[in-house]
This record gives sequence, C-alpha cells and structure tokens, in this order.
Amino acid sequence: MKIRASIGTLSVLGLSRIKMSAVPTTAYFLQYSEEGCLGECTYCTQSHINLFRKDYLSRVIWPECELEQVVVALSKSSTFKRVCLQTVIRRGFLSEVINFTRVLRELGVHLPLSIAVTPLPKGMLETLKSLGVNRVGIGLDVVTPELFLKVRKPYSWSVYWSFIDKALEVFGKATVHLIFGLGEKLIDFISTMASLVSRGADVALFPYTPVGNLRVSKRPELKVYRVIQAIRYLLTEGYNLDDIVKLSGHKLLVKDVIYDVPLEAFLTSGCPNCNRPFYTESPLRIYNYPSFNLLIRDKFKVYEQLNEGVFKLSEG
Amino acid sequence: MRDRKVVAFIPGDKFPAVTITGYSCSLMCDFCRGKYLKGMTPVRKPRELYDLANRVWERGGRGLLISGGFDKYGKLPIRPYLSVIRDIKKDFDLIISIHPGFLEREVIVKLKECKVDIIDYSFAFNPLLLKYMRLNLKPEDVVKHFREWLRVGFEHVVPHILLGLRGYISRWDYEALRALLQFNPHLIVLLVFIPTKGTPLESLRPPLVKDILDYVNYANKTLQCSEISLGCMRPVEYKDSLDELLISSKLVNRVANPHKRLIEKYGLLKVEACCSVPYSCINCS
Repeated sequence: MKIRASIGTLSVLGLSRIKMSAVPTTAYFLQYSEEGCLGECTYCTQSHINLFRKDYLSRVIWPECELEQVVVALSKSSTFKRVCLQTVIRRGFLSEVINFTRVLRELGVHLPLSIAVTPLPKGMLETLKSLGVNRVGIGLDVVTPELFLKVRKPYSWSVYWSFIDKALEVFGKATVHLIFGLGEKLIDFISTMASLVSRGADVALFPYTPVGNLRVSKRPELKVYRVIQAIRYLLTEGYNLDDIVKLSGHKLLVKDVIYDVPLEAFLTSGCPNCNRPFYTESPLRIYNYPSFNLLIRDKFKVYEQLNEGVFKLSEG
Repeated sequence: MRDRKVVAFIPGDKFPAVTITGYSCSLMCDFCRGKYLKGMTPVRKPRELYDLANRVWERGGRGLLISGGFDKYGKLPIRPYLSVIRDIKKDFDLIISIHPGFLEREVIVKLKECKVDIIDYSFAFNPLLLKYMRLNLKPEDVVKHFREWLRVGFEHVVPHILLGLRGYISRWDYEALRALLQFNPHLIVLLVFIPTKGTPLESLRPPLVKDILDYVNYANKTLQCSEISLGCMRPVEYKDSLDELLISSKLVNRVANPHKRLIEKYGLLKVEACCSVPYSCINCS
C-alpha cells in the first residue's frame, strides 16, 4: 500500500537524509492521494482545489513510499514514541485507514497510535479502537461556524462537534487541532479552546502557515501566539477562562496568572509525544518548540515575546 | 430589502440528487416528461443508495436529496427504501431531503421514524399545474397534504412553488402565497417554469423577469418571516438577468447554483447543499 511519510520520519529511519535540529518523536504518515484530498479547505496544500504539489502538507515534504517497507524499518527503531496517520478524503479512505492499522500491528509495531481524521461514520471509531488505535486527532482548525463555511471545511460544524464528543466517549480523550491566524477574533479562539478543554479534549495548536503561493491569511504575530499558548496551558491546568482573561470593550485584558506559566507551555501541543519539528515554522523563528533543549536556549526570548503579546492585547 | 446576506447554494457532488426510479416516471407531467431525472444519480436498489451515501461521505459530502419519478398517483415509490434510509441516518451524519410527492399518512409517519430531515414539498396550488400533473387533486388537497407533514411532526417542510406555468404568472401563484400564510413557513423555494425541449410545453416562453420580480416583492411582503430561495429549476438564461436583479436587490435570501460571476461580484457565501436545507442543519446564521 502506498503511503506518504514526513521527510523527518524517513530520515530517522535511515530512508532519507536531511539535516535536523530537532528529531521527531512521533512517526508521521500521510494518506496517499495523487489528486489530493477531496476536502476543499482553502488553506490546505493537500486540497484538490489548489495546484500545490501533493507531496506537501504545511511546509513539510512527505515523499511517497511503500507502507510495508517503512513499517519494517519502524519496527527496528527506538526513537519514536507514537505513530500518527493523517488521512485525506477520497474514495476508499476509510478501508485504507483500517488496513494501515492492521499492517502496523502485524509487522510488530505496537507504539501508541493516533489517527488524524475528518469526521468518520458512526461506528467506525469503535472499529479503530478494536484495532488498537489510542486516540484520534480532529482537525476542527477554525473556531466559528462562519469561518468554517468561509474556509470551506467538509461536512459541517455540528458534524465535527458531535464527532469530537463521540471520540471522547469512545477513547476517553481526543486531540482537536486548531489553527491560529485564519482570520478569527481572539476571543472566539480562546473560548473555543476553553469549550474543548472543558469537554475533556486536548487542544493541538498550529500557527497558520502560508506555504508558497497558498496564502489565505497572514502568519500570526509570534507575540500573540505566545499568549495563546500560555492560555491553552492554563486551561489544561484547570483554570477557568474568567481566571485568565477579562473582556473590556474590544480589549482582551490578560490577568497576571499568565506570567506564572512554565516553559513547557511553549512546547508543541497535541497528542503525547507529538512534537512536529518545524512543521509550521522555520527553525529561525519557532512558534511550537519541538524540544526542551531549543526552548531552554530561547527561554528569555520566549517570555519577552509573551510580555509583548500581553501588552499588545491590552492596547487593543 | 432583506437584511440577511444572499447565500449561494451549490449542491454539486456534496449533496447529490438521487432518483430511486432510474429514468422512468409513471406520471409524465407535461412540463417535465421525466427529462429532469436524467440530471440525477440513479440508484436501482436500496443497497445502492447505502453505497452512494458511503461514497458521499468519502468525499466530505453533506447529504442526499432522494427523488425520482412518481407513480400515477403522484407519490414517490419510497417504501422499499425506508429501512435503508434509517440505516443511512444511523451510520452517517448526512442530511436527508426527500421530494416525496403526495404520500399517504402511514408512509409519512415512517419517514419521520427514519429521521428524514427535510421535505421538499411541491406546493402545486395552481389547478392548471395539477392538471398537467394528471392528478385528481384540488388546490385545497395540496394544502391538506402539506398540513399532514407538519402534523406528523416534520419541522422542515419546504414548499416549492412553480411560477409562471405556460409563461405567465397567474393569480394562483399569488394565491399559493396566501394559502401558505397560515403555516408561516421558515423557508419557501420559488421555481420558474422552463419550456423544456421534448415536452408538450416546449414552444412556450418562461414568465417575464419583470413579473417574477413583482411576485417576489409581493412574497416578501406577504411572508415576512420566511426566507425566500430561488430554486435550481429556472431557465438557464435567467441566471444572468433574474438572478442578478434578485441578488443585488436582496429580494431573496438564497439562490441555487448562481453563476460564478455573480458569486464573485457580490461576494456571496457558498454553501454546498440543496437550497432547502435549513441553517440549523448547516450551522450558520
């Protein structure tokens, strides 16, 4: 079966060679589709509606390979702590997901397994669980029903939310992906994070990343992203939104508790052991830190950016 | 002038129309003669409908419009498909619309049990239209049937009014609006008579754009709480004239399949679904 794997994953497995300043701790796979995904998300390189090379997802290259060959290499490696498959929408994608999990287990890879999916038909989650999938990642990506329509997400806003609830019911946990910088209001972004966390979901944060000529928005300001990261961290630590921010007219006032967040708030968020090195940024200007080493190197810079972000918001 | 933005509804392959009778129809209305079935996806048996639903899901689709030819009593032969519709609603989060014709209460109740979402109801109030449909029904029977759906508990029964049969807007078209007043429908769909090649009415002309505009103006005043949609059945040449006039004056809330040019010019939001789908099913306001 044909599959795509991230260049970093292949490099760790010795199937490709690139220079890396951080090593992926999850083995990343992307479902193969020559024409791309039938979804029409305006910001996605995989969508069939743009002419982008289909071996790209975000700014990372994903060469096509034979699943069995990569999985054999994977079974011998001890670098990875998790496997992740990102699906695309196309004919037969559901049965292929099942096949992927089977091949993995049959070839002796027993790492925790995440499947990043669009909403699945009811019942399919139980099937995946029985095949050893631990959790699903759900690319909600946007934070309001209006934006959902604007960026042409597939299915519907309510289908996504009921799928999130169903995933939580079946797996007891779920990772919901949100992209910051697609034109949303800050308060909508934060409230959606709060609503997801209160349901029991983990939020995986992505800064919007323009790739090549695919630019539906601007890259978000790093200092504001730091605030978002800190708020996400506090929410997962059990703080209520009211404990963290206050809305004053159009201004969002961030309370002092934000200065207490530890460094780890700025690590890549998502499923356990998912670090996605440089998936959404160049190593020169890091949004999601893939490792503690890099974070410690930049720690003063990071808190300074957070301060600037808080100040910017208070200015309105 | 309506304050809501006009929204473009483009079902495409995200909300395909399905014919469960293939290309055959026993009714053979004079304005259609089964021609419009050819634009739909045919399924021959219930299993094929299920497989189609699965395929629609696998392309990120929203739902299905189940239609087809009618029997000689003006009913869609839906009975064999009831259990598969129930399965589809159980297994997928797809929106199901039905274009049912004039079904008996027993089947209406079953469709409700199957959790069908939307009823595209032919509000054929014009006696001439009923005659062309070869149905032994009076306008009041059409209202009675409409009420039946509501009584069974369907929330989204969307009346479709075919305007300008034989090329002119008749008093019956206006009467249809007044008859709907008592129901205060959340949405009505307006269709425009197309003189279709190969039918006995092919040599006629569609109603005048000006007359349609007058009608839509009146519809806005009469049904003030209803959304108004310009449905997909309208002469293709009207997509340049009528559509633009209705969109620019905001006389309608929705337009099915408008020209790309108009979508761009007026910055219309696009929704990939049938124009009768309520906003509660597609989550926007």
